[in-house]
Amino acid sequence: MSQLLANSLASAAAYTLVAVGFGLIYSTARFFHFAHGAVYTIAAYVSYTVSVYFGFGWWLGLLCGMSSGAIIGWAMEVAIYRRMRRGRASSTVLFIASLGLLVTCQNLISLVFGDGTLILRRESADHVREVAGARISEAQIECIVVALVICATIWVFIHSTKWGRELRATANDPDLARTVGVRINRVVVIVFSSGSALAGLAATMLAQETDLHPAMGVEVLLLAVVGIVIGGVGSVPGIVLGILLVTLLRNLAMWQLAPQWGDAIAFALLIVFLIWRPQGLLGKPIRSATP
Amino acid sequence: MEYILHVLVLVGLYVTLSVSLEILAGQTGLLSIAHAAFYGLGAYTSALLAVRLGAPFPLGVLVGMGIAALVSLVVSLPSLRLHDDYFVIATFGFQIILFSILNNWIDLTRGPLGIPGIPQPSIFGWAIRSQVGFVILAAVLAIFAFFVVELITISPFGRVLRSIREDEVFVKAMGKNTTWFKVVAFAVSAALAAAAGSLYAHYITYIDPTSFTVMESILIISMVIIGGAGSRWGPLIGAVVLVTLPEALRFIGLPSSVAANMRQIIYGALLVIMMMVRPRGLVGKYGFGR
Repeated sequence: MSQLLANSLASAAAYTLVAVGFGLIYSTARFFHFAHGAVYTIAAYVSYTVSVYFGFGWWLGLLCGMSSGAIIGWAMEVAIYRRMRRGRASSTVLFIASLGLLVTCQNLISLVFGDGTLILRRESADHVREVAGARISEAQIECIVVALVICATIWVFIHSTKWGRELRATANDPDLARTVGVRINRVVVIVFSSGSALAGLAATMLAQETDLHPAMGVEVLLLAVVGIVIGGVGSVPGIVLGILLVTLLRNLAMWQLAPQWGDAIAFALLIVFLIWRPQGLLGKPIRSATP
Repeated sequence: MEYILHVLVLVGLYVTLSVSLEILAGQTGLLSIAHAAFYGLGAYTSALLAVRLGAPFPLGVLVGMGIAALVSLVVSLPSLRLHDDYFVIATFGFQIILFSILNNWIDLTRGPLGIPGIPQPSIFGWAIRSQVGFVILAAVLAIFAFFVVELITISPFGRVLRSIREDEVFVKAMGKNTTWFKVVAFAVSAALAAAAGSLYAHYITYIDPTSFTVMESILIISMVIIGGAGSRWGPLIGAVVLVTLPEALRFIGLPSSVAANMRQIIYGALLVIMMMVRPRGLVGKYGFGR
C-alpha cells in the first residue's frame, strides 16, 4: 500500500506540472489547449536527442527539453492562437485547432523518430531508497520535491505579485482587465511559455521511467484534463489535489482490479465530476471564451 | 483496379460516418469526439453476433444500431447539460471509456487480439463476395445515411436543431424540450455510425480496438469540419477529400510508414489552417461559434 502511494506520488508530481501549465492556459486563454500534449512529447524527444543521441548528458538534455517546450508553446500562441483570437474565434474553434496541432506534431515526431519506444536513463535514477516501507528511487524523490517547490512558488506568485494579479484579472474577466491596463496578450504568452516549459520539465523527468513514444503526450494530457476538472481549473492547489486523487485512484484500480482498467476508472471519475461538480473541488464556476 | 474499388468502399464508409456526425456537430452544434466509439460498437456487435451466434448480416446491423442508440443515451444524458467546452471533454471521456471496454473486456471482445473470421455479408440470399459488391453496399449505406441527414435537415426537427445550435435559450423559451431534441440527434447519429461499423467489420473480416480510437474520432470530426459543418455537402466533401488525398500519396512512392504519418500530418495541418482561415470549412455554414 505504501508502495502504491510512493509510486503514485512520483508520477502525480510530474503530471501536476503538466496539469498546472494546462490549467493556467485554460484560465487565461480560455480554451483547452490540447496541443500541450504535443509540447510535452516534443520536449521529451529533444531531451532524448541531446542527452542520448548526442551524448551531452542528462542535465543539458533537461535544459534543452524545457527550453524547447517553452519555445514551442510560445510559437503556438504567437503564430496560431493569437491570430485566431484576434479574429474572435470561439473556444471550440481554438480547441479544434489545438487538436490539429496535436495530431500534426505527434506524427512529425513519429516520422522523424519512428514509432518505437526510446529509452532515456540516468544513473541516479537507479539508486533506490527505502522510505516508510516503500522503495523509491532518487529520481522519483527529486521529481516530487521539484514539483512541490514549483507549485508552491507558482501559487505564491499568483497571489502575491503584481504579475500574479494581472493573471488573476485575465482569468476572471479579460475585457475588464484590459480596461485597467492589463496587457492580455502578454499575460497569455507568458503563461503559454512557462506552462510549456513546465511540461518539458515533467516530460524529461517522467521519461526516465516511462520511456518515450510518440503518443506519450496524449496519455499524460488526458490524465491532466481529468485532474484539472476534478480539482478545479482555476486553482493551483485544486489542480494538485485533483491530480493526486486521479493518480491514486487509477493506480489503486490498476492494482486491485487489473492493469488495463486504469484509464476507464480515471475517466469514469471525470464523468462523475462533470455531472456532479463541474467546477471541481476547489474551483470557481465555468466561463467560456466568448460571452 | 481492385485498389480503386477498395478506396471507394472506404469513401462510402467515411461518408456515412461524417454525414452521421454532421447531424450532431453540424446541425446541432455539438462537437462530439465519441463517434469512433459508436463506429466500434456497431462493428463489434455485428461481428460478435455473426461469429458467436451465426446471426445474418442485416440482423447484426440492426442490433448494432439499436445498441449504439441505447449507449448513446448513457453518453448524451449526462453530457448534454454541460457547457460547450466541458461537453467536448465529456465525450472525450466516454470515447476513452468505451475504447477501454472494447480493449479490456477480453472475455467478450478478445481485447487487443481482435475478432477474426467475420463472415462476409449475405443479404437475403445475395452474397457479397466481390469488391464491386462491397462498393455497391457501401454506396447504398452512404446514400441511405445522406438521405437520413437530408430528411432531418429539411424537416422541422432539423430546424429546431439548428435553432438550438444558434441560441438554445431562445428555443427553450419557445417551449421546446431541447434536451429531447439533442438526445434524439445523438441517437440517430450513433446508430448510423454503428451501421458503418457493421459494414466495416464484414468487409475487412477482422476487427480490433485500434481502429476505433480517439484518433479515429478526430479524423471523422476533421472530415465534417474541413468539408464544412452545417451543410449537407460539407461532410461528404470532407470525407472524399480526406480519404482520397492520402491515398494519392502512395503514388508518389513514399514508403508506407511514412505515408501513414504524412496523411495524419495533412489532416492535422488542414484542420489548423481551416480553423485559422475559415472555421466553417470548405462549403459549410456553421463555424462553431466563430
